[in-house]
Amino acid sequence: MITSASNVARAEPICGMDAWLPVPARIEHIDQENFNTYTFRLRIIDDAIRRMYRWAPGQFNMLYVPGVGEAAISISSDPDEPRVLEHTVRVVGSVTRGILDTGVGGVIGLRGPFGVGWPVGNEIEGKDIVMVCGGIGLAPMRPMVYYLMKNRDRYRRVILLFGCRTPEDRIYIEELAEWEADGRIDLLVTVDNASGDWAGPVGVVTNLLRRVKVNANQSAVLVCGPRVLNRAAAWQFLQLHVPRSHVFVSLERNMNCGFGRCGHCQYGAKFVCRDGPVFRFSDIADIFAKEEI
Amino acid sequence: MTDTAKPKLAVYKFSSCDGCQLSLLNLEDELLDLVGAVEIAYFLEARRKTLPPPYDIGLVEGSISTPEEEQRIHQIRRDCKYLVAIGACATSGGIQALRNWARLDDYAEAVYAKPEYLHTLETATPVAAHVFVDFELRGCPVNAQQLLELICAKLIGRKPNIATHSVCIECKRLGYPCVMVSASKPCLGPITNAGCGALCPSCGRACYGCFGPMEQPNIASLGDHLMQDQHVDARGMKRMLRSFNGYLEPFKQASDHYERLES
Amino acid sequence: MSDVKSVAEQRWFLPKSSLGDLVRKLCEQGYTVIAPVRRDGVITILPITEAADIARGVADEQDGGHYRLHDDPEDKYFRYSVGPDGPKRYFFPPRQKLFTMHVAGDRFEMDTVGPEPPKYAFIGVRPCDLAAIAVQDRVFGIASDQSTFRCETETYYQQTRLQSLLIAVNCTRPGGTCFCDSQNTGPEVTEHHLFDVAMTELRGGFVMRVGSDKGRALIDELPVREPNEAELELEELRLIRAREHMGRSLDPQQARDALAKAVEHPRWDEVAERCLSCGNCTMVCPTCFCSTVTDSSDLASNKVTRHRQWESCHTLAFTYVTSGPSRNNTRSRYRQWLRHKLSTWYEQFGSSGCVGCGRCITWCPVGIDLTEEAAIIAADRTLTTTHRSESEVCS
Repeated sequence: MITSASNVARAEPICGMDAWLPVPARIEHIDQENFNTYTFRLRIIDDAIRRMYRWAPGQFNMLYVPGVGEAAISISSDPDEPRVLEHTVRVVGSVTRGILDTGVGGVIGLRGPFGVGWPVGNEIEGKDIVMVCGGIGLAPMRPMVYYLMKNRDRYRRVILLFGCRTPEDRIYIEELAEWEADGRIDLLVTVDNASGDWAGPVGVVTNLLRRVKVNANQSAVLVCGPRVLNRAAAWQFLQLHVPRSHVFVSLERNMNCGFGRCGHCQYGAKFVCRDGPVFRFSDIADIFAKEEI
Repeated sequence: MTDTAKPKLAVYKFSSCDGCQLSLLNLEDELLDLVGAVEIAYFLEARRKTLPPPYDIGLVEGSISTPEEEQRIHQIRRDCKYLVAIGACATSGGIQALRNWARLDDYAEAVYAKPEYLHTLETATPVAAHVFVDFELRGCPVNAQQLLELICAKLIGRKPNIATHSVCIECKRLGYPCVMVSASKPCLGPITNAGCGALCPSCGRACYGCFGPMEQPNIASLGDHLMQDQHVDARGMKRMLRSFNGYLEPFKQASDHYERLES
Repeated sequence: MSDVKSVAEQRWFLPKSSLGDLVRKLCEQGYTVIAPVRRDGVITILPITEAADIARGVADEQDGGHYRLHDDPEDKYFRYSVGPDGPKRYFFPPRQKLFTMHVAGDRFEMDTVGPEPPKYAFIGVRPCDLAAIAVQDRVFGIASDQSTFRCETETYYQQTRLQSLLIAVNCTRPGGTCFCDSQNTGPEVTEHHLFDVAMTELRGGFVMRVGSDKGRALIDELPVREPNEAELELEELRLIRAREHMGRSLDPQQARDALAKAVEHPRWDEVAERCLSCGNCTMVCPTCFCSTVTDSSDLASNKVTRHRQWESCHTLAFTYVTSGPSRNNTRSRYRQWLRHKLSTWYEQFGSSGCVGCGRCITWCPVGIDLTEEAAIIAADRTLTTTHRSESEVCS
């Protein structure tokens, strides 16, 4: 449960006794989302730690495969049920491969939660919420969707725009259908290349903006996707005169520690792991469009 | 008795001095653990018995310099799931690749009484010029601990911790004084891949590049500096770059550049 | 309080022949004494057991990419300035074990026991290095509010730091690449520094003052006397002259502002032509704190270990993500280093990341000079605003 009314959502890490030390967590369930993406449901083994564990939408954990390494993975489940931890992972490297190979019943390590997540509370209440996601960028947004649906009456319109390469690349396909049927949020899904019996929109996700009316002064925009999408989406919303301070972007960087000590994730003056991964556009406007920051 | 569950390791020798294979045998403290963890299935220098392929890990030492080797490497690729080129010869062509800049016959006649018995290729080339390799471990010879890390990493599924940055970083971590700055020795450390543990600087010697070029080396800048401040001439630069890894880009290209400057 | 002030202003004189008493006293108190030692052509700081181990009668010559020691006719101890190594490696070791672990079913059997934090006494710490220690204190959680995250490596840093004894020495002969004066970090130890004892070397001995109770207690155990007028005057003269002999200078405020604006600048291309991306500057920098965690395992894949080691922002692996390195060229990596050191550091830790020790200039193999790079960018009058117009956001 998120009680904080502050601008940023941040929960204390459970590994407070030593932020470098992972705690064991069991993989309880694995769902295959698409050809290389899986959702892992984890359960922290230690009862006391599991009960203490709290997190906010947009925060991430460092998942550790003993002897293989660690990867920063955002939490994708419902923040109101902090004892069920889902992580949606694209299996592309040795650590993510290691998590998959560990399999259901196996144990991996977990440190976290780290970072600052999506804005909640006063910051965005009473506004239209426009979420724009590309590919696996939907994973860090899913907790926000749950949060918004539960607190639906505090917001005006809630719009989720989601783009993928092909229909087969979509993640959470069943849930997308449920959200659409539910009707509390406006969901639009587009694909770059239609295949099979896809009858929906085709084209990049920012094209979907033509289909929704954005109320510039009354909207909060949340963006999570690859770099190209982040830039294109931020650009389009600024063109629509949404204030910089109402656009939030989640960034991806190399991370080692998760708490601002190792230096890897620096983005200008920010430590993405500690000050982000979600940033208010106005805080990073001077470097956002620059190459190789 | 053979433990069939254990991954099978094969070690092959091509044109080389055996030094890299010896690095493996020199892992005296770890050898027992090694044979506990893997089945030495093919390693002529260590074990008379050989087991039939396929092998899980293949380590190839040496460059491809003869018609026979050119054929054999393809079969080895088919036999090994994970093929690793180890050492300067296998990853760059090695010292024998110097002949790639010369006429083979001149070399052969200078060295052998009856060169007509030789059957060699015009060039000595790295393994990767012939077949796909899964990993390359640099060094002349390879660092035994890196070799061990490679095997341990493969066994557990880790990306091997093999740095691709400069020698300087490990040199400084270990606290060795910089021989270039403090003694004006022409050191290739700033453009050479780490991995040796800064062996030469630890003895007050300049690095001579036996681990080959690092990631994105700025050879031109180092070259300018060495030529201006330390009076290395173009020929000197060419010779420094054309040693164990001379045939490996971007050392090759840079050495060709300095060769043109010579004339 | 007036008492404290008088102590801060009070001076003592330790005859040179009694430096051995100081070393002995520290050893007796259980300290590992670390002091400048001449070794392999450089001044490095190493554990010593007697005053004779301390480098003496030697002076250095430093310039961009150039360092030489030569015998000095003045038979003094501290005629050289800083060598490549500072106290950093003793508080923040180049390689440190985080844990060794064995997976036993549902449990991680952790061995996190590291070495007991040593008790170090440093002799001859320069004011710039004192300032650097203060900078790293803020990074590693002493004197900062970043205490949410506790960890063993930090505890090691903090314990080692807090139980260390810092005997500083004022610089009377700055090196050719020094610019502490313009950074307000030297050449003299001031009340802004954290130290226990500070001393100025004169021909016959050391004029000393104290900066802490620990320092005061130490003085009481030494064969000191009161300095005479001439000695105090000479000390002052030495320190004034030191300020006049800075090899370089850098206006920190100007550099900070200019670099904040100069995300794009033609000078970055120019410096990238020369920069080797070798990482030497980051390794010798007394404030650079970046590290990388590496995993290893034994052959049986039974025992796994994590280490943390010094890392450089000049490597490709530093920013590697699935889609490739975020900083894929020398230009962007040098830019990150310089902008971080001189500009964004303020926002992160409330001060500059540069203390003016000049190590990065001396130990750059090709002599790239950050004071020069920063000055050239700061002199560019076309740098007007940090914020781009919105039309440029997606360019």
